[in-house]
Amino acid sequence: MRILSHLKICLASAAVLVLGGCVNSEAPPDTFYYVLDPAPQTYDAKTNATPYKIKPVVLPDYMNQPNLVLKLSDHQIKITNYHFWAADLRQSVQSVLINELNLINNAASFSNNCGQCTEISVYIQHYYPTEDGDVVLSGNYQINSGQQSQSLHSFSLKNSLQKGGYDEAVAAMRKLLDELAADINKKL
Amino acid sequence: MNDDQADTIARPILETKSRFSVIWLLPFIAFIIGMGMVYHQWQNRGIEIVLVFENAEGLEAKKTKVKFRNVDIGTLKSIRFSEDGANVDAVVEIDHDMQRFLQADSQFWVVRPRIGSSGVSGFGTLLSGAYITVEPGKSPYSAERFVGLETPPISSPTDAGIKLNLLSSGGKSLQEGNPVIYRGFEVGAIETVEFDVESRRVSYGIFIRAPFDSLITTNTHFWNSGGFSVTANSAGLTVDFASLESFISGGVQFDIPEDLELGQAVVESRNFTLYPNKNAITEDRTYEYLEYVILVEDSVGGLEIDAPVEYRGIRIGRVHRPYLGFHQTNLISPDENRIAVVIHVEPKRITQNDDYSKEWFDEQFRGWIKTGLAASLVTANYITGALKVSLDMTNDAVEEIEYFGNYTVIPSAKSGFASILEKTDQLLSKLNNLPLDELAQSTNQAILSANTAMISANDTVLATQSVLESVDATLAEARRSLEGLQTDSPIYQKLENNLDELERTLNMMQPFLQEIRRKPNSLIFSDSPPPDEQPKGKNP
Repeated sequence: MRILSHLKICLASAAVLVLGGCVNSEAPPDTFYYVLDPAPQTYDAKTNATPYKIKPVVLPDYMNQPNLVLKLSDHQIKITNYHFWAADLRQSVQSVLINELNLINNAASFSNNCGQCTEISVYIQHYYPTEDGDVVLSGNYQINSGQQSQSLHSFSLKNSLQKGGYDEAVAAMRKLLDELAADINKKL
Repeated sequence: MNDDQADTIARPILETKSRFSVIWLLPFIAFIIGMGMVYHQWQNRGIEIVLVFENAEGLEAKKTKVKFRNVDIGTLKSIRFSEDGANVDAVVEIDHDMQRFLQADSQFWVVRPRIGSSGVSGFGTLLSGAYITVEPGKSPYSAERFVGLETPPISSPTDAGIKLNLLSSGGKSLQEGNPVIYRGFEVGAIETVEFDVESRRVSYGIFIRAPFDSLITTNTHFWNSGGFSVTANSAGLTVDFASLESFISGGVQFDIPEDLELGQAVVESRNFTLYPNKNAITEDRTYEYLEYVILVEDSVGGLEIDAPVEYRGIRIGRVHRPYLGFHQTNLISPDENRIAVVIHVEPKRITQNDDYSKEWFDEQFRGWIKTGLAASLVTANYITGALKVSLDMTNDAVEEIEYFGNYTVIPSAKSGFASILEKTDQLLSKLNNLPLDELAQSTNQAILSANTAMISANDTVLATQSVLESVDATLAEARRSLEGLQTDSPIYQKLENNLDELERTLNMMQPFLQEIRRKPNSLIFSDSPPPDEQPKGKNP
């Protein structure tokens, strides 16, 4: 009986050791979530304004995910493990553009849905911070007011980070969207 | 030294010493013991026999054992080629006291893993290696050279039972080891399969073990039970097969037909016919017969040997020769241009009662021929075009029975083209007798009735038209419902949102799936990734 009880203790100890190997004692780093809109914004009600529709923004495949992206070199990007967008980036960009355009243009109203109105399609090709401290936003947008009137415009905007880090990078990315909205507004 | 002193000095006693020392007994005794051991070894040495096999697969000299009921009784000493090189001779030393297993009819074979229709055998030799086993015979004579079997025997010489020979002319081929079944119970197996080139028949040697050998009588009939048979009758569809093993690999069944008596017991080996199936026992059995001839004016194409001869659907015989032959016909009657078909009428097919002799039936047939019995060729199988002989009573009585040589002629009923012509004549005469005037009046009335029916049908068409209008309205309603699914509709928007959500979820899954693909055990043993690299500032 004593041998049996010793054997049980040995087996239990072995099981604890084996299972203990599966446990990672090191705590993972904290996870951060970011939003493009830092604070709610309002604009005055618009009457008789020209309606515009901002269509859903098209992003490159590698940005169709919640992880933030960091560009390491000309052809290499890094998908972060602990820094995420809190909302869908496509909807966030669309929402920011609509808000910003509505703020800067009182003669027009911008929304994501309208019937017979001018449509603005935005195609983003690059939108990320770089390892060297730059933030890039490039692509093109199309203004379509019917079959007879279509115009395509490209944009390439850049901003620099002073201190670095993803907090500042997200703020810089937001400012680039303001610049893009201003650029679109000029072309209307 | 003076004389006194010389007297007092002891004189040596001289004794004659034995020339044979006792010590020499030791080698002598050792020699005796040694010789005794040699004699004992010689006396108990094994018996060397030679087993002839087709090949030496699995056999290893000085390792392979010879066993009887899993007890070692000898060892394989060496393997060599036979003188003609066609076989291998396995030289085996059998233990001295196991000589009783070496009867002239003893059987030796190699036990090795085998997979066959009868299952898997010798599985244990995968680990232990092959060995030779013996089935002792019962011959009073012993032998030193045996021809080894390539497969285990179905029966041993000491097994009680009976060995029979089944001769088959066709049907599904059978294999050694296939079961012999009596009313669903396996009572033996096929031991040998040989093809006799001269008789062009397959000969199956079967063994039926005791006590089932007493079931075999002179009236026992064997049939091939491979596969299954489907019988459709008024009771429904019946699928029949003897056993799963015989269904897959074939087998033999036997029984005594219901119309036959038990017969005498068979105690010695003899030949039986193996019928291709159970029905063939009734169809192909040999009966006493009466021979008749039918002189046919039409074609006999499709009429084969053994085609049925039926009387109103009851089989009473077979076609012996569809065409008697030019030479014989010419000998009997050179001017005869009809085709002589020889048939055998087998009365025992319809009665086993011995009160009705063959001669009695012959007399009856002659009487029936006089009163109008006639034969005709009718189609037995519309797919193959096979014909059969059908006997029936007609109104054409004959005064004298016709003979064709020694054959009694059964009159040929009009068939084929002649029959069609006659029937056409009958039809025309019936048409002539038809009351055409009354028929015309009836037709007029029928046309009037048809007119009324047409008016009624018009009403029905109108009703159908209103139904079609209703269907049209339903389709319009459906079209309005489907408009709700246009791009600006709430349902469409909801659907689009759901698809977006699905796409987003799939995108979120991608890094996780890539990680799993890169490192499948990361679900259990995952190290936390290092902290992310931060974008640098221009003025940190």
